[in-house]
Amino acid sequence: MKNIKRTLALLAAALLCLTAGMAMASATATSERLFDRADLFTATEEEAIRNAIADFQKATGMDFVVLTSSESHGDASQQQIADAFYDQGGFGLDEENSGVLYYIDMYDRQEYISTTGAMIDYLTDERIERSLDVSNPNLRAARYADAVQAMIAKVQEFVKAGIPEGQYRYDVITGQRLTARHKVLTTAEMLVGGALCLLIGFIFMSGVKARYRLKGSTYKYDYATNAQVDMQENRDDYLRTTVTRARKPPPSSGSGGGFGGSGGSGVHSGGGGVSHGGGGRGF
Amino acid sequence: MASVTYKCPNCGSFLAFDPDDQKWKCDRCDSVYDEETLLAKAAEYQQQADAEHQQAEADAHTHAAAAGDAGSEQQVYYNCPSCGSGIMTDETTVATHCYYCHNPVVLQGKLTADMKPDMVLPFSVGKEKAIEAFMGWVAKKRFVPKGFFAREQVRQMEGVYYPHFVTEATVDGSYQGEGQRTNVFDQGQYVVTQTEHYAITRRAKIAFENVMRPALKATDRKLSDGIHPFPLTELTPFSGAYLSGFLAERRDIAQSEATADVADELTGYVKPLLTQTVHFPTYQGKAEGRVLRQSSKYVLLPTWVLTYIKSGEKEPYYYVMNGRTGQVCGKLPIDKGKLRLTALGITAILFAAYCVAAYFLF
Repeated sequence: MKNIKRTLALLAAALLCLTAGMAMASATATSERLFDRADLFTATEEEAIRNAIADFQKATGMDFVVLTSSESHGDASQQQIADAFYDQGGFGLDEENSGVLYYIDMYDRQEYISTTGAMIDYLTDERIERSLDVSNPNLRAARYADAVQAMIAKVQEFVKAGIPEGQYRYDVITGQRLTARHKVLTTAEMLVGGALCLLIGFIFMSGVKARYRLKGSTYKYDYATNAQVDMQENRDDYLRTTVTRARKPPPSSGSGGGFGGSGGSGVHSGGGGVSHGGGGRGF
Repeated sequence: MASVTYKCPNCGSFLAFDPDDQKWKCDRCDSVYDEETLLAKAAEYQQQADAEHQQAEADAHTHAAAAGDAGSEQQVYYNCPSCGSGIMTDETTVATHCYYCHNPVVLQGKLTADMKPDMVLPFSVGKEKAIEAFMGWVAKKRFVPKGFFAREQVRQMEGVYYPHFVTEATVDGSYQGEGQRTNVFDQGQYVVTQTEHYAITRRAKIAFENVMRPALKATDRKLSDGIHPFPLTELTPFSGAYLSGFLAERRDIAQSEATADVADELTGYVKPLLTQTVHFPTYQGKAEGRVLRQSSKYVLLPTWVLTYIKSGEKEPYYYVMNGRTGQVCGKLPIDKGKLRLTALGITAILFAAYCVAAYFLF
């Protein structure tokens, strides 16, 4: 019985994806990114969201898709639906199809963010949570368009801030780290380094100037070669021995390995083998 | 006062000391004379000068008021022994050229009594070599503007004997201190630190030699310091003949004044010298030094000197070279643009390296 239910659910999801995919065939042509299946937005709100998405695409070079639905989808999770919808829809502007899909599920009262390609690195788990922090209150208050607008703005802000230092991808199931920590030179590091290098350059310059102007070149009498030492008394007399005892310090416990700190981007693989990141929350 | 020119016994032209083969050469007939001949001649001149000096001293006593202080005049007037023209020099010059016949003139009269140097270190680097060395040295200096030094002007480089005092002294030095040797080992729950203390006593007679002091007030200390040391073991007894063909300056500082700080300097070396024999990992102590005996020699040291004045430049540039070892020192012009560009380049390369390092290491 359960098996049948699951199959049905997957079928339903597949169907949804299929219709989405078909819709997409025209969507890529019309570049439609807003799929308001739950009919949450007014026409003006839709217009505003489309404009915001267009701006987002221009600013980040990555995609932003909004999907709402109010239908039951059986056992299929928001994650499965969102990933599949994004993959089938052929979204994404670059080769990696980098982008984010924001899914509002009115049936389960869940919101979900699915990230693809480079967006996985920009939206770490922590950033996804912070994005949801912005949209969630709006959803609770039934201000759906505001939630979407807030989400677009927040994601755009994160992309603009760049991939955070120390970011890495890890497999959500095995916990295995998939990529090395992302390294960036912070402005402060650049400034300190730049100042240091400038200082060295300046020291070099004044060093050359000083040598050419004969500053600091003084003759030192070489006493080692010009002096003859005739030692007449050479004694080391024992005075005393002092002893101090100190209790040994307790052995310091080394901290174990593991992924410390924040910066992880959890990654899972969808049915099509495409990696996605994501996270969601109820409202 | 007496001024002499060393003349060629063969043709009567003048003789100048040739650093390349350490002999005297006639500029006209190419005759070469060795030390024996010339030093005998020099001794003769010296005797004459000494006699004149004594006579003058005697005269000065009788006409004290009339003679005034002839010795301390800024400018002193001589006649060239070859052509009779007047030679105006300042008070410290003891060897020069006649401006008219360009013969080398040694003002022997200025080298009498206590003004006679004890030793001289004759030039061994000749003028051509000195010029080549200078041009080569400047070419190696990356920030000297290209073509700044014209060879023609560099030819005006002069060989000058500068007066110095060379002091030797014996110092009674002692060092008293305490040294520690530490041994650290484990004993159950404890770390035990065992320290042995020793009293250190050192006492030695230290013989210092070759302590140099300039004996000319006007000497640019920075310049002359830059070309030390001179090989003082090669000093020879002074003879005026070595000055022929060069410029020479006479000391204008008394020995006691020039070497007043020598004792202080030498006692400062007692500690590093005596603690060379201390082998404790840590030690502290005090050193004392007392000068037992100190004596100085008045010597003339050979230096090639070039003062380079370039029109449009505010200050002249100087260059000196050790006339014995070829060691060089000088104040040089800087191509500021090139220097700035290089400094900027270094900064840029360092910054790039820093960025790469910071990116991959942190």
